[in-house]
Amino acid sequence: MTNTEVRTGREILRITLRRNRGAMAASTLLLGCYQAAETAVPVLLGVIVEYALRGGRLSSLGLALLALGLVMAAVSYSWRFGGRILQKATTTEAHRWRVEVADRGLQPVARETGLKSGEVLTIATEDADQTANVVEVVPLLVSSLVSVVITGVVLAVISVPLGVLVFAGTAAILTVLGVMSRRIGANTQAQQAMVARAGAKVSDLIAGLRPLHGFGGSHAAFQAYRRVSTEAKRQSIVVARVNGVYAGLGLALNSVLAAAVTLWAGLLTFRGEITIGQLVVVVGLAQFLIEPLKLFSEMPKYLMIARASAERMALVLAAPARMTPGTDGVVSESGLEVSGVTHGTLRDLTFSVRPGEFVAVAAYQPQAAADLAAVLSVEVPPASYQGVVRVGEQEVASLAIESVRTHLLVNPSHHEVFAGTLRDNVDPAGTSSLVDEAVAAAMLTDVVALHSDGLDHAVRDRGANLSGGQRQRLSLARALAADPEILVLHDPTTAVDAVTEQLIARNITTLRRGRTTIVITSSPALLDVADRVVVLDGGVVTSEGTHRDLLGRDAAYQLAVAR
Amino acid sequence: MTTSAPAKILRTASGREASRWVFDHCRSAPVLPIATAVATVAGAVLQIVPVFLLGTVVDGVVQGRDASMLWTTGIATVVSALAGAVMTAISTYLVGRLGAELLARLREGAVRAVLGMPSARVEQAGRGDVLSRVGDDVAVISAGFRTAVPTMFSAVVLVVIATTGMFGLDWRLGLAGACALPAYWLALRWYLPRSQPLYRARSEAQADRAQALISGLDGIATVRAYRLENAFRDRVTAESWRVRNIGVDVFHFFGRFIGRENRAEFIGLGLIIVVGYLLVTGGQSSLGQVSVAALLFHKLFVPLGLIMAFFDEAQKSGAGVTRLVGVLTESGGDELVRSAVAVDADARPLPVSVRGLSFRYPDSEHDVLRDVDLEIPAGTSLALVGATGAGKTTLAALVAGTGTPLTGSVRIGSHDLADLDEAGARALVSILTQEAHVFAGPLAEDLRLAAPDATDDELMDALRTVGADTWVEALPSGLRTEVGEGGERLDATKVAQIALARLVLGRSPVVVLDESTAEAGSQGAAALERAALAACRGRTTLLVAHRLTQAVAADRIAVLNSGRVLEQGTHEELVALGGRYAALWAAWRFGTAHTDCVPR
Repeated sequence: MTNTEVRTGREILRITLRRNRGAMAASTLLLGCYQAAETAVPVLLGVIVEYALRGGRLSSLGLALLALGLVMAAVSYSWRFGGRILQKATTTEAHRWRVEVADRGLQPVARETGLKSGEVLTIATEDADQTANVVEVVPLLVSSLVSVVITGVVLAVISVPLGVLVFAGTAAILTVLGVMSRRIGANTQAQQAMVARAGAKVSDLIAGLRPLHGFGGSHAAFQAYRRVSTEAKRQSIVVARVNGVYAGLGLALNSVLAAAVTLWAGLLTFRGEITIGQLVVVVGLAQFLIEPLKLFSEMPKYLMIARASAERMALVLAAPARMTPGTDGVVSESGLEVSGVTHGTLRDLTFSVRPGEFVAVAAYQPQAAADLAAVLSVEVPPASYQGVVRVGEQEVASLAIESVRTHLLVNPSHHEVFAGTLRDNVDPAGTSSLVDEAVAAAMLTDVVALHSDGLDHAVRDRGANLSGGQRQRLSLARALAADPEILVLHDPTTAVDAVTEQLIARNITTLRRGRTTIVITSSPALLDVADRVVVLDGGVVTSEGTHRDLLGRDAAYQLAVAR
Repeated sequence: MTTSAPAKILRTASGREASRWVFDHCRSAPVLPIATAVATVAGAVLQIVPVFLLGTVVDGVVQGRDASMLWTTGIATVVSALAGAVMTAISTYLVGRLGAELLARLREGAVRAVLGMPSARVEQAGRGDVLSRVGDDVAVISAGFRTAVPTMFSAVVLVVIATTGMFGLDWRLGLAGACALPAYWLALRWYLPRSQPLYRARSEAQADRAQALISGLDGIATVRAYRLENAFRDRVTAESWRVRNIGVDVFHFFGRFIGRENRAEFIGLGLIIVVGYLLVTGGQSSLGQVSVAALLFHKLFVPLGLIMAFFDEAQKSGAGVTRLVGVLTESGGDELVRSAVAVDADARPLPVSVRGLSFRYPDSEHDVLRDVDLEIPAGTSLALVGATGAGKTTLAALVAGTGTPLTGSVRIGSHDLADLDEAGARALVSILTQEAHVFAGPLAEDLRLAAPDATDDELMDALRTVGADTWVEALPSGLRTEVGEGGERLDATKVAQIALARLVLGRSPVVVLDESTAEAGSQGAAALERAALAACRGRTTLLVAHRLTQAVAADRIAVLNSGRVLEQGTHEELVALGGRYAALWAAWRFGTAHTDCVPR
């Protein structure tokens, strides 16, 4: 089911319809019965008035009640089961597409969608739902048509001109209301946007409550909120006015039609052309017809929405992968070699790290550090830079991406924290045997000790309940706990205070002893504990040596790293 | 101050309290509520008049009267239909307006209460609770007031009027129709306890599903680096399937609920037919009257269905109102922080004196601060240095008047902070914490939170002081550029500069700085240190030094270790002392504590 190769929205809709043929057929049948039974209620009322009440026979009363009971049961059960089949098919279908979209976003190799993650989320939720709704179109269309046809036939039997009046009048009302509701839609959207703005303002103020309290801005903040709230109120009143006009107009049109139908049918009754029962039928049907007709007229809109959503899903599902990773090659040892790499600010960069070595890369330009991290993490496909990166003597381009990442971990520098517990974040795969050591080495112990549930303390998405320094230390603990053969850290201690940084630097060397470690940093504390410092200036290696050695002999280095 | 122990989460009002609040609001401006009620009742009455007129037509035919009666009936029908439409329009407008005004007053009151709460109360209740009140509850009530509440109101009035109308025809017909109402009630009683937990579970599952996906997508670099793709995909699949299953369950119950509704419809209609049959055959009612009763009840299918459909949402709005009224009553008439700015712009700087200060977090056995003594002479600065967990941030918060010490005191000038509430403390001391936040909206509005009356020139002066004037002028619309959530993205240095500019504008005589300049990277940090120095010039300053260069720039330094002051003095004194600070300094500067190989 996963990895269905689709290219267009039309194809997505076709697949959706094809795999739900059975559910569509069954629900069309049941919903058709439902609409027929609904239409029968006003007809039955007329029959009852005519034969049971006017006729006055007890047996016809019994028959009437039986018929009414049967019709109501038919309404109830056909709707329930038809709806159940349809709803199950639709939600299942939405689930399938949602999983497909999520799958494309969460693959080891990025795809060229050009979409922000929020947009992908919307596609995976709203668009998947709306695409799946296409399954409902045929059953709803056919069943509402059943109702319209029955009404037409019954009215034609009673009086053809009266039937024409009912149909023409109802169609006219729907047209007028359709035009009106578009205007209301625009107004309501504006109002919802306003209310949403007021809501967003509050969330923003609460998010900044601590700083706000810090500089004493609460009063001014309340004034600002009141302005937005008043604006939202004014907009709501505008919407209420438009809604009032809409409700009044709708009711006026409906009642005038009802009055016209009643009077005409009344006239026919006085003339003896139709019975009292038929009069009741006509009045009842005239009130009822608007519902199925409205449903019928909304179907093209439904279809259009589904079509547009399917097209948006195709943007994700049909996006090509950014690179084709290799498959062969076995990594036998844990050295790393960068050979003649030219990418971004890197100019023919060459350096190598022996297995088990602790190397610090001091990049004078922050962009060069970022470019190097991007190349090592295979975020930049090997095909789009010159030169070669080798992991354990194998070219990265020839390796499967999974096997590169098994041996080489480049810890992302934006310190992502996922909702869950501290432990889930330190050991996301649940396989580490170094959790406690890593937590201690990253100086996360005080954060753990702060909470009675220790490592099982809950953290919110993006570490919203942690400080910047805590997030950074958590990310470092995760990298250390993963214990990869080759670990690349990029600025691991920038948000940590001076004293703690010292301790962390020492801890990293202890914990990584015997493993290959590369730290891209300008922090003297980390540079000092490295076996060797590689200096990167202008995209090339300009100097190499131990930190103390370089401090002693290289004036430029001294200026760049000492603070 | 009340003596009772404060509840942990914010208050929730009782239903009676909430009703009284709404009633009091209506009484304070009675014209609108009364007009609303009158228009709605009149609209409902006029809506059912045409059905009654149909009855006269039926009876006219049965009694063989002249067809000319159709004219008077016809005119009456059209007039009442149109008048009914006008009344419904007016009622819809008035209901919407009344709702909008109630809602605005409620949300403004709640936000005011929350902003006026001491930080400690907010932290105690939890930000989640606070945000769910002024965020989610307001959203629920807004949505409810948009459709559910007005629809329910109009539908209930129509049902009451129509039922009264049926009683007017014949009390036995009215009773027959009214007998269906308990069946509707039972359907709701059956459905809501089953559906509510499912709906709640579904929205939670939907939130989990969105969270699983968005955190995977946002953190995709981490997901890929740690090969967590399958784990995240499985989570999204599982959550999505859970939503699907709950959705199917919900619909299952919904279908059975609608079945019960149909049953209630059958009961009502069937009873009216049976009673009608007996009345017509007994000659006590006319055929017209019975037809009217049957048609009236058939006409009620829609409003009764609407009541059933919106009952839950309306009830949720009601629950939201009780939660918001609870917040309103919690803070009483507390002053908003800075509602009356007591600070004289030219106030002279005040000295800060900390004596024997100890502090312990609730539920902890371990003292974070132990017997701390510090003096900061007026207009000078003191830097706190120490490792993570040494108590620097706690000490900074206490000096800023947030939190209550276990023992000891903090005095600012002649004021003991223990005698002041948070609003009073804030007039004397501002604190800049590690939490950086840029408020969404134009940059000028953000800055004016600190100084509402400042002119654009004064704002630019403050920005110039912290070295932010150049980039602000380079923004697409200068001070008017939208920043924060959804606006121009600003890097950590710029965010910190804005925070410092607010401090400049705020003009309190004492400032506490606990911001983490380090996140700005080493070059940005140097610029920020200069900005912080400029912002605090001439004011009494306590700063938590994350980078030791900040400490060097301060007049004096205190080294904290495990909640105690270990060393105190100027930078030169402490380096000469050759103790802890001297070692830290060497290590910080050159990455090594061994000074032998360090160039002089």
